[in-house]
Amino acid sequence: MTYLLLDEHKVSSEDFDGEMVAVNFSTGKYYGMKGCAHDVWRMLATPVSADEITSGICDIYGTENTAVQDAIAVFIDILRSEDVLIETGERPANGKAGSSTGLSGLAYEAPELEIYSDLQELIMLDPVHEADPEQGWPLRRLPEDG
Amino acid sequence: MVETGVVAIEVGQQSTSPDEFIRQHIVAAEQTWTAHEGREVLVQLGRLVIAVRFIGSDLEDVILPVLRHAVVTGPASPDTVVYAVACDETGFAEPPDEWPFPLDTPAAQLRTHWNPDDGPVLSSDESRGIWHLHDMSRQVGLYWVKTTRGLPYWEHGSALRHHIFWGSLACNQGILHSAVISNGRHGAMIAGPGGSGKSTITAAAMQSGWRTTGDDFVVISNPQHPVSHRLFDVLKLTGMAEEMFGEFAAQAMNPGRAEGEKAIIRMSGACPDSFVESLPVTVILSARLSHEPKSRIVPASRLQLVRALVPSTASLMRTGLEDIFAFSSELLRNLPCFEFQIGKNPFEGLEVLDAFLKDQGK
Repeated sequence: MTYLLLDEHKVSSEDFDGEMVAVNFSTGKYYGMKGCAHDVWRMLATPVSADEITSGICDIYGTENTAVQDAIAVFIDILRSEDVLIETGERPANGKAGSSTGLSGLAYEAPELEIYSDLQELIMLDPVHEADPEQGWPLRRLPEDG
Repeated sequence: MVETGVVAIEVGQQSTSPDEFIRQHIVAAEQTWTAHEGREVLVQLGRLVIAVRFIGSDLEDVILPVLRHAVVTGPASPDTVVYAVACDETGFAEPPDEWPFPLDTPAAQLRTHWNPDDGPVLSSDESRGIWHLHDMSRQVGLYWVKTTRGLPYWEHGSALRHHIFWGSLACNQGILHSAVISNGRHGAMIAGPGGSGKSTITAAAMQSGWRTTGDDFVVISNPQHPVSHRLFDVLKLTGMAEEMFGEFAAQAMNPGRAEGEKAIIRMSGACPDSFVESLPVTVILSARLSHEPKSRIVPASRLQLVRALVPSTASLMRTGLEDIFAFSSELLRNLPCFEFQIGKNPFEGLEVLDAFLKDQGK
């Protein structure tokens, strides 16, 4: 069994009354969340398996497992590609799966992660440091010949 | 090996320890300043009192003009000490011309070092010979400049910004890339990257008798009940804004500026009554130049305001992204969020903002 957990050394998030915003410190990207993504994100605060996430979402929204499972798998793959997850084969003793209460009264919508790279773009346009027009910024020292 | 006259420091040698590099050079500056009985100027920015200790005098003309409003004349105990040295004037060891540490880390790509838990942090622009070193465990830093000749215009407008940011982290205040203006009763924080209209709307506000604590960087204390404090006494205008506010631009401190370089104007000179020490903040708006005939203010999500506030602040401060995000988030929890779509006429935009603020205050 593989358990998933948000890597708190790389990512921090804020919950603004149900609106979840997160920042990836290692890449400068930040994320908005749509659909049930904020529920999945909350569950990932403690080690949780993909199956447990799916079950949890189904419980919150009263949906069928088949509708949710594929969407959760896709969402988790996106989180993996953003390198914000830790994967482990163990859950700490007495550890419980992450949970979320969801936003009452809303219908299920597939989780979506909105990815913004404004900070990265601003750094590349950065006037504070001189950028090489061909190499961009920062300049790398070239390896010595021979 | 270069003698500073006090402590011999290895400069230009490949160093594997940024922590050691930072600590060594700060100590060298401390000892040099003490030995040469340098000048000290205290400035207060919000809650933060900084002692700026000059080694030599060249950097006084870079640092003090935009911080003169904050100079403390009575006795005060500094929270942070920053040594400021221009090496060509003083013979102090020059900063490295190249990044002297391993390049294979994200921080190295940003030319920063961030170890606040132990203390040493830095941000460098070695291409221009400007290094900011700081030990957050002692709140002592070094503004280390190769020469004041050819310093970019933004250094004259916001020198010591990194040290002010690092010092502010220790006293629960933030430095944010935004403007704050007030119609006398309500304060609006206007956030957005360069070109979003912050300076334009601030210039219009100043001409219209409004008050401001800044158009580019402000200090924010107490995010639960936010108050903005003035930071740099400077308004930066470019392009159409420079034409629109020609009487301000005529007072620029950099009249011989190159094409594309912003006009740097002393706010206290252009509109003495406008540039005030502090203002309460009651709403935050993300700014966008709409180029439409009419301005509009519409509700915005917290995400929109995070996008307006955090990336530009983080890209300018270069370190402490986690702290900037946390502080900004705390602020956004306590302020209503809107988007300000600024139309073609900033004075019309100001009227819209005034009506909006009055409505908010009901």
